[in-house]
Amino acid sequence: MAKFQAAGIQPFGVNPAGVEAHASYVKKLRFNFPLLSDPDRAIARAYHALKDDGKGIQRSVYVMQRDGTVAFARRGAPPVDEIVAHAA
Amino acid sequence: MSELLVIGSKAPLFTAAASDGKTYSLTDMLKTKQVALVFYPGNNTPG
Repeated sequence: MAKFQAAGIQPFGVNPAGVEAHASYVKKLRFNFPLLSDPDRAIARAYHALKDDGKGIQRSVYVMQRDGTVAFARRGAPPVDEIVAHAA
Repeated sequence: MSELLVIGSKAPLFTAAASDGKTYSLTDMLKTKQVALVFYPGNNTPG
């Protein structure tokens, strides 16, 4: 998280679970960034993070720079260092 | 499996409720910071 902050990036997790489920998950894992609830998978769909069945989520990471364009896109769970290296 | 969004393309805008009780819109967030989105399968699943 400190690395994200140093790079001027606000990270969010995105998942179809409801807000309440997210809140307990955050507490349990001590995530210190918010999780966005995407119950209809609209965000996952827009970012091409849905599996072919239209339900499952493919692990994917994006960074958007401040002009609203995509600066980084990767499947899986890339290391934080790799993500912040692509910050503007 | 569809391809990831292309680098340099416009990011799809969204507004969503978050675990901290706030509602975030990408447009507002980008006014002050860059934004990372981490998509992952269901909570507590290895996916």
